[in-house]
Amino acid sequence: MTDVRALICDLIAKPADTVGRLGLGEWEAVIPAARATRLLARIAVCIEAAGHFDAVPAGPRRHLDAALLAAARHRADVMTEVERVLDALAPTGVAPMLLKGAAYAAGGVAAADGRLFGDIDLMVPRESLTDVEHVLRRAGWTTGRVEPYDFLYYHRWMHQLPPLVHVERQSVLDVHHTLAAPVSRRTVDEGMVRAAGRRVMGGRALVPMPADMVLHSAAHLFTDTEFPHGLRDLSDMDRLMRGEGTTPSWWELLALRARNLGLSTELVMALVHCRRLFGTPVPDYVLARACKDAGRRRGTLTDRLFDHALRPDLDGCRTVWTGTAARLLHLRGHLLRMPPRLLVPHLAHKGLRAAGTWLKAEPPHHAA
Amino acid sequence: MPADRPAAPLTVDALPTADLRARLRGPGVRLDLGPMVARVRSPLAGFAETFRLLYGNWPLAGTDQFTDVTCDLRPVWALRHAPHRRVQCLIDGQPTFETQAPAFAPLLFEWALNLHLANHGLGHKMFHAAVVARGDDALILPAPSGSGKSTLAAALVATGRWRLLSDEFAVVGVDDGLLHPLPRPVSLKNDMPRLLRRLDPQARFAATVPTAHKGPVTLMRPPAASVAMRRRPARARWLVTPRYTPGGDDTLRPDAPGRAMMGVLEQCFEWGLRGRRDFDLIADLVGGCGCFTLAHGDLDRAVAAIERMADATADTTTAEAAA
Repeated sequence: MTDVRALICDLIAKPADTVGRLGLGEWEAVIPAARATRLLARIAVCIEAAGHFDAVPAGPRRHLDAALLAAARHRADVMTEVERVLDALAPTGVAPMLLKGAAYAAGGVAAADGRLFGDIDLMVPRESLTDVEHVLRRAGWTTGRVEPYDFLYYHRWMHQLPPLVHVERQSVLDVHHTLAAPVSRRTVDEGMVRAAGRRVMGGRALVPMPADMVLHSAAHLFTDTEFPHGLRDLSDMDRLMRGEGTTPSWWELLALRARNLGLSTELVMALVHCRRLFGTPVPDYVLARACKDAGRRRGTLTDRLFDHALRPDLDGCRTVWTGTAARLLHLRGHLLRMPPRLLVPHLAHKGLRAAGTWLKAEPPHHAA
Repeated sequence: MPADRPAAPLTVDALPTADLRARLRGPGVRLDLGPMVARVRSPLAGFAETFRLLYGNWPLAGTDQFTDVTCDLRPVWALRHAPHRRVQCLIDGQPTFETQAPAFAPLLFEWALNLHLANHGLGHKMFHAAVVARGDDALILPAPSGSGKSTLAAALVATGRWRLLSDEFAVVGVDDGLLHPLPRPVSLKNDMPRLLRRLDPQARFAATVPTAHKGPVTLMRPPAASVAMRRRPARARWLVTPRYTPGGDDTLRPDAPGRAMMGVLEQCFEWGLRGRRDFDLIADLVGGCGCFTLAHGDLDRAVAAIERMADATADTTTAEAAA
């Protein structure tokens, strides 16, 4: 059976070679799978950059066109929304650090191309959190209905306010004061990341330096409980690394930075998967260095679990082990985020709440 | 020996029943709907017959055509409804909508196509409206559900003087500004089928489905003449905003173009993906139309009012051309 994930990755990594060998049947598998994993626009951008857009048959090309249009719209919209956030924050004098998608867009890096944008991620100094929440609420962002347990969960154990939704525009803000949950077993020094950041948007905001962008994305992906956009995140990392990797010293910087931030394990995982899936030109010595810093080999069981789990959730893309791998990694993610003494009561609470609605459960579906 | 003239495409009606069932259970049936090619698969008993009733006129897509969307209608078990089975709709492999009773399968297919069209306009601008045409002059009835637009459209088509372009979405070509036909099954509520059968005894209906939110819904087979003209776009000529008003006077009242345009914009989705160009497209469309409102309560009187208006403006144009 065709490995659809491999086709998606090949269209991104080597579009000139791949476009020509896809028949209509393969495009019929690739388009919906790429859309489901949020990589359709990314594929379109890569094919266009390689000058092979006209070689795509008319049927699938329409879908790529529409995806490009949507991505361009998203990008314009996210930048407009960031402006509004900065306007709201102006009285506090706080320059937020943008993270993830918003950072890619504001920073103008390759990872912003062919991307859809959702929530805007912000990191602000801890002491300013109250002021920031205040001005954002005044400007129209609200938490809506939050159950008391969830509110506690967010404030004490996670590292962010509950997501803020704007009353009119429905834009969503995730406001953090750290890069990882305070109670989690991996803590990252956000001060270091902030200090190394670059000013953008007329100096009113910061974005992380490219190495930190890669590491932050890796840290989130490889400690998470679910991976609906995992393949997309790896593609982002691949584009960031390719963009910077033309400078030989950059790779050493990346490994060193990972060690300083305590993210060598996550870096190894990022390098291993990016290299295998997208052919990212990672120098061998960098991978060896990172493995040494992390104290692990380059091919562990966890790596293989991720390989099974990081697939579009569709027939033809999953493997026999995808479901099991996803469940195991789900548990792993929980363990990494919360120590057992907190995790067990937390999961018990969630379990009781779920059981209360179990009899009304429908098979999972997407809201129309 | 005929020269290289492409054979007329095979329609769903032309497929033997056993073949149709086998395809639906296996690789699926691919419909060439014009703006898109859709594949449908379902092992449900009875679905093949209903599908043939509703889509018999429509051509099957050729092997050289790209399938834009795949819809699976699968039987599933849900604890809450046990021991009865439900049907789940999957669009491109993703479960969509809540599960429904098996009788809903044809409705789910229509919803799936509507959702796909709404999310992926693919070169067309769309808004909620029924569209019918006399020749190449189109009448747009923009309005949300419950306005009676589908019934009015079906009644006009039943006169035999109008063809159906769409009962749910106006499909406007981004490049040509014309209305592109997509004469799919018409969705009728309550006892409208009875009224329409009186107007057109040839009309064919699928079994009525008792929906929770909209009451009884019946799908009607689109007339063969409308489907035959599916490749002929029409130019927007008249815009009538209907509102179903029991006891209404069934009189067309001129509407300010600006207000008519606001009404159309309210029925748009996929907001401003092309930004200003979308706005201009709609403005040009509405600007070229005679705009009216219609508070309708009696179907026959409403249809007569619309036809009188269409005749009158056609005469005016002819007179202007002659002058």
